[in-house]
Amino acid sequence: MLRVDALHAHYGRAHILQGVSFSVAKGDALVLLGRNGAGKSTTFKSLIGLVRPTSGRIAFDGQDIAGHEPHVIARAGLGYVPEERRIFTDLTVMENLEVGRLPARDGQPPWTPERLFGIFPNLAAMRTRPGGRMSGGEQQMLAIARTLMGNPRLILLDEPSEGLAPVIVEQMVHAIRAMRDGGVTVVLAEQNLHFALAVADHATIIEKGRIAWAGRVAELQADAGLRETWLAL
Amino acid sequence: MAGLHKSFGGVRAVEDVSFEVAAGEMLALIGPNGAGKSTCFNMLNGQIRPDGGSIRLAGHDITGQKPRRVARQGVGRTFQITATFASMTVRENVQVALLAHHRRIWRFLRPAGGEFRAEAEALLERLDLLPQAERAAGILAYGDLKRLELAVALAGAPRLLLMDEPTAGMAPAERVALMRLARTLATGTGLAILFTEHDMDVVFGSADRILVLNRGVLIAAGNADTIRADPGVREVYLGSGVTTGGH
Amino acid sequence: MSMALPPCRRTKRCGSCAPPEPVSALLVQLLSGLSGASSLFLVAAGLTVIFGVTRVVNFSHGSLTMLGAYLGWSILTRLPRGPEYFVLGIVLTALATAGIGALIEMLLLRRIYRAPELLQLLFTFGIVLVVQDAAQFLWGPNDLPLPRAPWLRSFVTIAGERVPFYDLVLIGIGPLVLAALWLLFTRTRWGTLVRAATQDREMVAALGVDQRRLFTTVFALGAGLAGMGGALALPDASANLQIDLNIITDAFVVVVVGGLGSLPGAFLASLLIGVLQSFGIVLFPQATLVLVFVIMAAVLVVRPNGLLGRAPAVARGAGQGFAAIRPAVPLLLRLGAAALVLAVLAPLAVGPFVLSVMTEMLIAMLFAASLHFMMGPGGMASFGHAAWFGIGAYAAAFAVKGLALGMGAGLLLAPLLAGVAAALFGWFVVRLSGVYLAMLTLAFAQIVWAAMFQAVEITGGDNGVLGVWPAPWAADRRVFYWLVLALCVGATLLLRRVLYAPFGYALRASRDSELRAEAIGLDTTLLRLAAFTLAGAAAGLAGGLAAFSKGSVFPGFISISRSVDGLLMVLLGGVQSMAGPVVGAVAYTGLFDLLLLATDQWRAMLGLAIIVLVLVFPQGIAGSIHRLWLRGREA
Repeated sequence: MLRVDALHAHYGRAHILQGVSFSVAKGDALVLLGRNGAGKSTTFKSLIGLVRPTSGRIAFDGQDIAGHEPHVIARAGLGYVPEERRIFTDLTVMENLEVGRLPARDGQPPWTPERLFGIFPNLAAMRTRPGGRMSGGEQQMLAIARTLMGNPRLILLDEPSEGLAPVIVEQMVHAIRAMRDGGVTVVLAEQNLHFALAVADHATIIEKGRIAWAGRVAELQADAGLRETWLAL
Repeated sequence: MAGLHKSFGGVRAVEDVSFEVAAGEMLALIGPNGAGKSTCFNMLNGQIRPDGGSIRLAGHDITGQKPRRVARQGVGRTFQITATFASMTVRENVQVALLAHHRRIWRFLRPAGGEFRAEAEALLERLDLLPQAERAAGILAYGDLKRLELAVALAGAPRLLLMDEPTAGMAPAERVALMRLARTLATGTGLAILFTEHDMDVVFGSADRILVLNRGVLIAAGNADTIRADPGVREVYLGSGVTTGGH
Repeated sequence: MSMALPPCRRTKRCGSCAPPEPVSALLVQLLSGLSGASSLFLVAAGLTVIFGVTRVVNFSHGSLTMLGAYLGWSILTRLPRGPEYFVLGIVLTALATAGIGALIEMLLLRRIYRAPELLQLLFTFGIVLVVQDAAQFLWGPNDLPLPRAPWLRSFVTIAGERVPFYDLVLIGIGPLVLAALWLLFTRTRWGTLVRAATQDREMVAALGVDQRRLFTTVFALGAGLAGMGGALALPDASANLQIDLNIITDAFVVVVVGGLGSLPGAFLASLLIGVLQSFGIVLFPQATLVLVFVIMAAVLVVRPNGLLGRAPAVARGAGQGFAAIRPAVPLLLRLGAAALVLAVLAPLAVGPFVLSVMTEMLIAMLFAASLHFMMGPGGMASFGHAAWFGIGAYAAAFAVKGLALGMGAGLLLAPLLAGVAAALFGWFVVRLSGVYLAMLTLAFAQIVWAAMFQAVEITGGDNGVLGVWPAPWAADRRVFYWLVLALCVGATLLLRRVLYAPFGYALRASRDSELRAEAIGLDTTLLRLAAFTLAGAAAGLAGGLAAFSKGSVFPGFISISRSVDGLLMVLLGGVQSMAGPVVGAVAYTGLFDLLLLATDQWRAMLGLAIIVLVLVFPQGIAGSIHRLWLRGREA
């Protein structure tokens, strides 16, 4: 589904990504782990085209999307939910969803507001509320729902649990499972290991812009030494 | 220090909340997103005017005063999104805070580089930032930036320190170190610390007392065991423990 | 560059022709004000919509209005005179300017969306200059009044008063356009996307929306509104070359008073300003433009973000880091000392022409250094810095001619009055930031310009104040040069010293993070005000010296182009160090004064130079060179 090869990216003069490679199969869920500043967010921004990678290949569904415009990549079926959520605070819930709407894709039932309200019941009660008057958890749900309106085949979730109360994080676990049931491949960046382990099958650890470890989530769960080394747990 | 009392009426974000922090105490304020934690913080340091109620610091009424007045009365704070002076060096960041604390800002001709240099460096030493003293704050790593912000807040010699999600975005090892430092400050200097936090390991590990806020109302208060066992808190905030490592 | 007040617009803004009867004409005056408000609203609405999405403050918006007036004139004079053809002509004009706007966006603006705000402003100012010369080339220098068809001259009797029918038409158009825009923005997918892009265009792109097409259509809409506003004002005025800067100042004021990005706010503010201007003519014929300032001040005191505006959100991606300001390296210090020695000895070696250019360079240096003080460490990018320069110059002239005092008193009064004026204006300005601040300072400068222009008894109006000569002891060009050298270098060094004093630290701290600065007990507003005042006083000193150097003072001392000169100097040299403005001033005065001003089409040449410079170095000249140098070192 998605294969990233030797991705390099710079922010100004800082060499943030120094050869990131990973791949994720259709229907799978992969988590990128690593501390703050390791390069998880920059990886996502490079994938969606908000940061122009300096070199490397990004193959999405067989086509190379590295260096393309964000809207081209999004229309190709790559969805992105940023770490800061970036809800349009002046727009209502329904309008936020409208901005994210893209045509349906072959062989996949399109996401509609009604279908999304099934996964995020909190949103159903606040269709006309401006995004700015929602709590952090509700905004996070709206951000995900908005991206799903584009009927992505793969969704990038940047720290979806950050700053959320544990009880909301639990709802997020269910939402991600529902997404996967809907046929969406998931790649998420996380710091909350418990959350990551609850939703992903594969994990990749990024450290200082490089891949430090890759494997199955179960291995990570079993190996305390590994966690200690790379995640300082 | 006499403690702090406040209550608000009218505002939907925070309704009739009252609590006290004693000198040397570490008090955690937790609750779901949108419960009113940040609103409480912003009222405490003067960024938002409360619609009702009062805030008293060591007997003085500081309700509704502007942030800089509140700061001068001895309330320091750190922000959820760190706020430091990016174009200035680490040392200059602390120096300008010391200059502000000692009311030495309105001097136009004397070079500032030497002012309070020793004090600034002592503070940086304490926070393990001295090796970074000559680097611009804007290029610091995240954890260093958080500690610099703390150093700047401490330069004002506060009696009460407000920390808004002090460990968010930090590696777990850094979290432990930072909260240990906060504890040293509290017991060593009698500093009162009020902090919000989503990492339950940090909250249960370091707070003397915990307040739980939900929809602007205090729903529970007590030590770690009391809070963990409280069914109301479990329902609105803690959940079953799947994503927090289980409690 | 010289500018003149707009020619008499029949009932609006007219101080010199016979005013209508004050009391009985109250209704006519009100309706006239409302009708003027309509075309102002169209222009301001276009400006605010374009800014909302592209985050570019489009200085050339007034030029689009001017083009609308000229195009409208060309189209309407070729059409039959019936009302239906008038409507057709207006629609064609709106479409034509929309097309021109789309072209400007696609060919030029698209390339600078990632450039710093100030460079964008400069860039669109370059377009203003080019369009001005182009319009003069195409339509000639004379005003072109529209021959008015009978229906345009007809009157309607309301409450016993004869009201021009066309005024009523205009009054109806404002609310109609507002309603149409409101429907467009709230009821269509395009409108929803535009509102989303206003907040976070990057996120909109990441959701699959082609921003480029969105931006082009928005710009075309704004340009069409501007053109329509220009054409609609034709029957009441004429197509002329002053429309661009006059309307842009009014539009800036409307947008700031209404609240940036708020269409209903722009509507309310245009009504307010239109009506008050209309009544102001009756009540205070000599102070109409000062009245605009008073209105704006009053609104901003009560509502700092305008009538219906909200606190400006920090635009995404706008949080650019400021480079640390560092003392110059020893080599640079030695070079500076050597240059100073040469400058002191120069009069012994060079002729009078070179000496006068050098005098001009020194004055420019202090002017640029004072602007840099405000922009760099102060974080307040002023687009109207010429105001303080001009006030200083007029103060010096007034001391010599009006009060019959000597040069010494003039040079004392210049920074003093400029500082006091800066403190007064600054009180409003320092609460704002970014483009708000740039717009407001520009509007203030235009108002000071207009005040000097209108106060004929004191300033001589367009004729200026002549015979402002140095005292006898400094009458010798060389002695005067040494005086200028001592004062300019001394004041520049003083500014530098303040920067490294506790005050300078606190000022930079306030700029870096207002939140943090307040949290450690700094009064950021007061700090910024003090910096604003200091910079204003320094610019005033430069203006005072300029008055004695030239021997005369004209309203042109306060022109927008002088403010832009200062900005170009600072940006040319680089914002990061105190050496920047010094180098920039010398380079700019040398280059542009000698080369560009020698040609007739200097406006177009300067405009093109600005456009090319910004296109080639979108990160600023100094920044680009710095980056090239770094790249060279790494290679």
